Amino acid sequence: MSAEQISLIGERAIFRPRSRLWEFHDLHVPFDELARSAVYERRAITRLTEGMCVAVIGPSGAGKSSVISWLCYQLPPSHFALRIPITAVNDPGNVGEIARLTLSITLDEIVLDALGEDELRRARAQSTTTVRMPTGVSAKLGGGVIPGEVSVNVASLSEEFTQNRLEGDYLLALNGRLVPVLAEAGVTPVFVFEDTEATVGGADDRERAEAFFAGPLSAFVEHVGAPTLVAVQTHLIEGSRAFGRLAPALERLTIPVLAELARPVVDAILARRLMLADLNGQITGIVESAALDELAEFYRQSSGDLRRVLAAAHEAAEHAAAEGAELISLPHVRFGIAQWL
Amino acid sequence: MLQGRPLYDTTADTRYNVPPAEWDVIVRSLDRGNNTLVYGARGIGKTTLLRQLQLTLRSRGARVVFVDVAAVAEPLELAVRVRDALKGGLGIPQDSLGSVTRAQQVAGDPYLARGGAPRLLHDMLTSLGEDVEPTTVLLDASASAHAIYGIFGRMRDTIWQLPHSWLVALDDSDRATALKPPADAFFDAVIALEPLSIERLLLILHKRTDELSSEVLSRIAADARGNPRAAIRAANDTLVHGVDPTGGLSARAHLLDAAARLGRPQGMVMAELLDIGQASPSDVALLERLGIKRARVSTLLQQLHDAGLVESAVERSNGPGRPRTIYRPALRGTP
Repeated sequence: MSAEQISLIGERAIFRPRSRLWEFHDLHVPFDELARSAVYERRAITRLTEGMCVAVIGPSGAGKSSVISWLCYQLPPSHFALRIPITAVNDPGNVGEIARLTLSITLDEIVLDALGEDELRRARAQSTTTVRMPTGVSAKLGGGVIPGEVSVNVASLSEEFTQNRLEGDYLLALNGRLVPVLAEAGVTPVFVFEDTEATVGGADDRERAEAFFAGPLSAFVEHVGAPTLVAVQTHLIEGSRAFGRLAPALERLTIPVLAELARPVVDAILARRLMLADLNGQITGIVESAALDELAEFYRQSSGDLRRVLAAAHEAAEHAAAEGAELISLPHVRFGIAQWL
Repeated sequence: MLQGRPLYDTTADTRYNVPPAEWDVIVRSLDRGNNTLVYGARGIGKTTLLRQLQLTLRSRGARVVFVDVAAVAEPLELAVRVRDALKGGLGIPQDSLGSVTRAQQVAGDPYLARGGAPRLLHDMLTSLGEDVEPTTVLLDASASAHAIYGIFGRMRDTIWQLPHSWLVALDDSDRATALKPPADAFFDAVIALEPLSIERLLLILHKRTDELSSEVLSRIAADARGNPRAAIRAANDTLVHGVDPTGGLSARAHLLDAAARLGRPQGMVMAELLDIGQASPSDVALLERLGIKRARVSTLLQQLHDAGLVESAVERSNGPGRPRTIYRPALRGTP
């Protein structure tokens, strides 16, 4: 590999962990592929299409958002995923507020979808972060098209909602009126609650976490006839009674730490990013084998914190680029890891 | 120029600017597109830092905005101020935010009403990415910890979707609240603004006034405990009220004064000691800052000790190695 290509990897931040949900799905290497199994993403897709709710569980940096983004883009055309920005709700235990927000986002998306599916696709293909439409910003993460007829059939619901005539029965309107109209048209929404930790508002706020599990999450899992896909931090569910009670109704996708496979995991994740950047060839031609071993060790030591592994790889690439190196070598990676210990 | 106000982003003010020791690290962090948090005591120079960063980035052709979000209580109000700075606008007066209904009326978009307050906040934040080029947003956020947490903690993922990068300046005391998880993961770099060295304070004072003698300025710098606002105020008081600084010498100023009488090197060592609290002749950092050899530092410390200006103590480490002598300014027992 030439020094120019190494410099390109640093400059274009090819290894850097991504934070924008739209950028994840291409980069994600499914855990099923890494572990040669069918118990992670594959099973989750099956369960979602069967109508079951799925909780993606893992510590910070494990790859929950990547998994969720990937899952959304793998949905069959009969489904579409919507990110509900639940973090904006002040009280995470307030079922009505979260149902209201979901209703509002879904109704807007239906109008938006009818208006400009093509335009949306184009923007996504160019990885534009948000697409502006007359009604606001798209929350759609993937899946099929919402048929145009739906927007006609929800017109009266939409009007009542706008004029505040639902009298607070947002969950009822969502489940009793909106979801059936969609079902009739042959599509099912998948509601995505992606940032529970932020919603709860702090890592150690057990009480608020319990309120969220017992309130809105239970309501969506048990009463809404459409699947919910939720990301949950491992530490929030440890010893949680409310979450435990939901267990029979929830498929759990617990992100594994593939300690035995650490090196192939690191190789595959970095190789995927290089491939998407049109930098083909052996990964060991870009990152020295001993350096990859070091990153694999970091993956094991950090209990599978892929965000930090990638951040360290990115630091290493920048460091190598600054030196004009032709290979990202062990000292570069050690430097990178030191920044993220 | 001895007013306590921060320096603005004007060339006229720039000549008074003495960048803090952390300047390069902060600029590098912003150049890399990092979301950066800086924190420091009140009066340490956060607003001046932000204004000078604004000037520097703008002169390089980068898009940058400065937003004053001091003492903002609500995330929505903070979002509105950022929107106004990015896009121009009139803003919502703080008092009209008492009820969300009112804010919705001001926002004036009928579809916002039906999603409630959460929808309004979410839409306000996503709109920050629309029709705007990627921009570096500098937030001067003293006494706004709750609102900062609401935006960069709770709404972290929404902010991450925007094309902008952020620099947030906070008071020391607000750091714990503002950085509660998951806000901690939002900031790629967290940089503390340390108290200024006496030397840096002197530089600032010399740039701002030539009406006071070097001796007087030295005492003021020694007394300011690394805080430029305190130093400038003291210099101003001296001029305006004719306060005789030799009259009310503090213990710190007295030590510096007495050390400087022994000679310039002795004065320098004392200034360092007053800055860092204590030191041993083997401290690499101290030797680097003074730029003199260890044996010489050792001699100077001994002289200060003999003059009763520093105290010494022998420190034994638990591990291997010889015990080392630690020197501290002889402040004990003095007010």
